[in-house]
Order: sequence, then C-alpha cells, then structure tokens
Amino acid sequence: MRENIENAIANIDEKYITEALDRMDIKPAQHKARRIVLKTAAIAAAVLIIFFGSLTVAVGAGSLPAYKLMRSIDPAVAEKLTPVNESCVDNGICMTVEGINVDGGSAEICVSLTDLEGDRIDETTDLFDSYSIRSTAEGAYGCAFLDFDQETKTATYMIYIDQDTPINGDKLNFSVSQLLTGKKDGHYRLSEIGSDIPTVQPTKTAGTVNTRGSSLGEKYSDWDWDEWDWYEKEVKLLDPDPEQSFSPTDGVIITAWGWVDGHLHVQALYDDIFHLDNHGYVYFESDETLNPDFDISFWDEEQVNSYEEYVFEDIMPQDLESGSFWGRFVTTPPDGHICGDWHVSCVIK
Amino acid sequence: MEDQQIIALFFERSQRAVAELSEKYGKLCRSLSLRIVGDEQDAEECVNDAYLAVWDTIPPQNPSSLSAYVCKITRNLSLKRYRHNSAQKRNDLYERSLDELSECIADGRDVEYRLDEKELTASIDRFLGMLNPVDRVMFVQRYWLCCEITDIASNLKKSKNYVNVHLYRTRTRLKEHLSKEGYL
Repeated sequence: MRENIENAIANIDEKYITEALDRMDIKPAQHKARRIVLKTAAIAAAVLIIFFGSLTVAVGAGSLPAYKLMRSIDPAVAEKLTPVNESCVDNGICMTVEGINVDGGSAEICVSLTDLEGDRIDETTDLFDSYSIRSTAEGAYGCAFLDFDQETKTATYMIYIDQDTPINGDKLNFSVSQLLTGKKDGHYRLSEIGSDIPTVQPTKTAGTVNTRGSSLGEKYSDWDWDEWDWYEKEVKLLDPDPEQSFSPTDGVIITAWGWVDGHLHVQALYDDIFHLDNHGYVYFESDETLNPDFDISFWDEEQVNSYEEYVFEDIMPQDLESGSFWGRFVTTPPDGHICGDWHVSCVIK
Repeated sequence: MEDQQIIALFFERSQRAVAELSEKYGKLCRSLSLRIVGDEQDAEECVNDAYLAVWDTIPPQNPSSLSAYVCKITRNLSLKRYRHNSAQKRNDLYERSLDELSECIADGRDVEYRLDEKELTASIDRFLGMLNPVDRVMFVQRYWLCCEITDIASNLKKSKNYVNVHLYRTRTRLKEHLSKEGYL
C-alpha cells in the first residue's frame, strides 16, 4: 500500500507541480526583508553599517573605477577586493564584475551596470533580488547600491552573500536575470480619505482570501507567529469600492477605506508585484506619525496584483480632524522591468 | 533565459541547452534530489542523469512546463537511487513525508493487495483539483517536492503551525475522498 501511494503521487498532474514550484522561494525572505527595510529606514542604515564595518582583511586591488569608488566609501572594503573586471552584455546592458572577495561561506561582489544603448540604467536601478551564485547551499543575500555615474551611465552595487557552507571551487559563477529601473519613491498625501469615513460591513476575512503575509506594528511585536496566525484569520478585510478608489501614483490604487468594528482600515492595491515590485505603506500624520498596528497583504484573483490592508486600531473619529493620511509608495513603470541573461565566471584566488 | 528559449536550444541540439537548464533549474533540482536521497554526491549524480534524460527526450517532447518536467525526471531518478540505497541508509525527511501520506490509505489490508496506481493517481488529481490553491501547494510541496515544513512555511509566508494544521486537515480530507471513491 505504501508503494501504491508513493507511485501514485509521483505521477500527479504536472500543472499542480508547476503551481507548487511557482511558490517555491529559492532565496527565502528576500521580499519580506525588502518590505521591512522600507518601513524602518534606520534598520537599513544599520545593515549597511554592519556590512561595511565588518570587513577587515586586506587584499590588494587594482585601479578599477569600482575600487576607487569603494575606497572613497570605505578603504577597508576596497582593499579586500580582488580585481576581476569580467563583463557580459545582454539586451544592450553590460554587467561587469569589478571585484570579489570570497572568504569561506561569505562573498562580497562589486558589480556595475552600464546601458550601452540608452538611458535605462539610472540611480534607481535595482537588481530585483535576481542575482545568484551557482551553489546548492542556502544563505543570506543582500545588495547595496553604491553609486550612479551620470557621465558613463553606470550604476555600481555591492552584493554580499553569506551561506552556511564554504563557497567551493576555484571559480564563482555570478549571474543577474532581471533589473528594475525608473523607480519612483515618494510620499503622497491621500487627501481623498477625509474625516467623514463610512462604517462598513466587509464580506470577507483574512481566512477566506489568499494571503501573502503580514507586517506587525509595535503592539503585536511580541506575539509569536502561531498566535498571530489564529488572530489574523478572523480579521475582516474591506471589499474594494469603485466609488472610493483613486490612484495616488501609477502602480498604486487606494481601493477602499472605512471603519470596521471600530478600527480604521485603508486598503491599497499594488500592480504586478512580481515584475514591478510595487510596494509601500500608509500612515496617519498629525502631531506625530501614526503607523498601522498591522497590515495584511493578499492576492487578487489572478495572483498578479496584491492588496494590502492597513489597520489602525487606535485612531478615533475625532483624531481625523487634526491630521491626514499619507502613503509612501515605491513604484516601477511597466517598461522598467528589464530581463536579460548576464553571467560572469570569476576566478577565486 | 525564458523556458521556451531553453527548449528551443534543446530542439537545435545546442550544447548550451544543458548549461542554461542547469543555470536556471540546477539549484532547484539539486535541492529536490538531496531531500530524497539525503546525500550530496548522489544528488549531484541524479541531477546530471536528469539533464541527460532531458537531452534525450527533448525533442520529441516539448514540455509546457520545463521546471515541472525536469523536476519530475529528477524526482524519479532520485527515488530510484534512494530505493537502491535504502538498504544501507534511510533518509528521514523522505520517509517522514511518505509515512504521513501512507496513513491516508493504511487500512489493514493484506500487504499484497495492490491498487491500480493509474486510477489512484487520477483520484488524487481530482482531489487536488478540489483543494484551494494554498492547501494544494502545501500538499504538493510536502509530498511531491518533499520539502520540510519550515521551508513550506517560509515559501508561503505562513507559520509552521499553520502548515502542520492544514496538511493534517488535507490528509484527513484525502482519506475521506479515497474512501468515497472506493479505494479504502
């Protein structure tokens, strides 16, 4: 019987396998990390300080542009890099691995991107977590933007990799497959959300939609995820309201807002998040900045666009007169998603 | 590189085809194989054999999903290797997932009793078609891709407890479904 089920399960319809593979996260927590970084700029700064501050061993480097750049930021980091200067051109964009440092399971890779055909590369260009080294090991990955040179239209980044097992072999294969460019990052006043906010009776809860995750504010920071998980399922979620909907910026629509069981909910819809990485958050600004107590993100029916519902549990109706809602949104235009096949083999010395 | 471009390279019999396949799906296949065979060297060999099998079968095959196609071959070869090896070494991860699933059809029948596996597969497909997408993905990641609960939780941004509870409920529903369709 055991063999029966083993063989039967082996031959299930491929569409179910494809569906499950599509939800496999090869580099776990990258998107979640991005969201947290956005919300807490201080953490982002700390990560960079830890990153740059932790490099100590010195290795000679040449007179590469990236090396000069790195020296101006942190000489210790620059001294560690071994020059590589290997390039790969695809889709009119040249990726150059300027220098690397490999130490056990850790690596730092300095990479630059230059648009040979136009102005697609700019100071907002993002590697969209699409960089990888050829390795079977799991690990933490990070990417820090270093500089954009207007004259040469070259953006430079430092990628760091930290995996459990040593990076083996005498070559490191580094590749990038997607870029996001032309990104906008701004704070937008959501003046349509006035003080006359309707009380609504939603028809769905987080337990009945396809949730993507949630972010917890300070009030819930000491809850463990199991506890939160049970709580979250009961949270009512707004039905999108075409009458209320407006777009503060391309790629984001505020789809509904209202009082739900005494809590203020604001719902946003982010376009095509897998390709454009549109994301952000909503906050209330009066004498002080009030962030949501939590937010829940969930897919639309096509699993292309993502709703995010921000819940403010402590705002009272009378508070609304003395402040206004704002959103910080990071968006990419539809033509800002660039695919390519950039890969370079670097010799590890 | 897009899947269709990689498949086109196989049709052209280009040597780059395997390199591109490895570049895109090598990590996925190695991790799948490793979860089944439990040994890095065996996993590497299974994946290399899978590449060769893909080379031998495309063309004439033209899979609609290259990832599912190469994973299916990798999984089958890894199971074959695992069964061959299992007299010497058993892989807890794979055995645990199979134990959980086997409970669905454990009914005290004679061990020689054999179900028609094709029909059983068709019945499981029907069952999967009735599940909501998240429960279905959890099920397939656990019992086809042999993922750890922790990894499924991470993939789906759910808690471990959520995954455990939902998998348990899905197994219970599968047992009911198989019973209703006359397999138990």
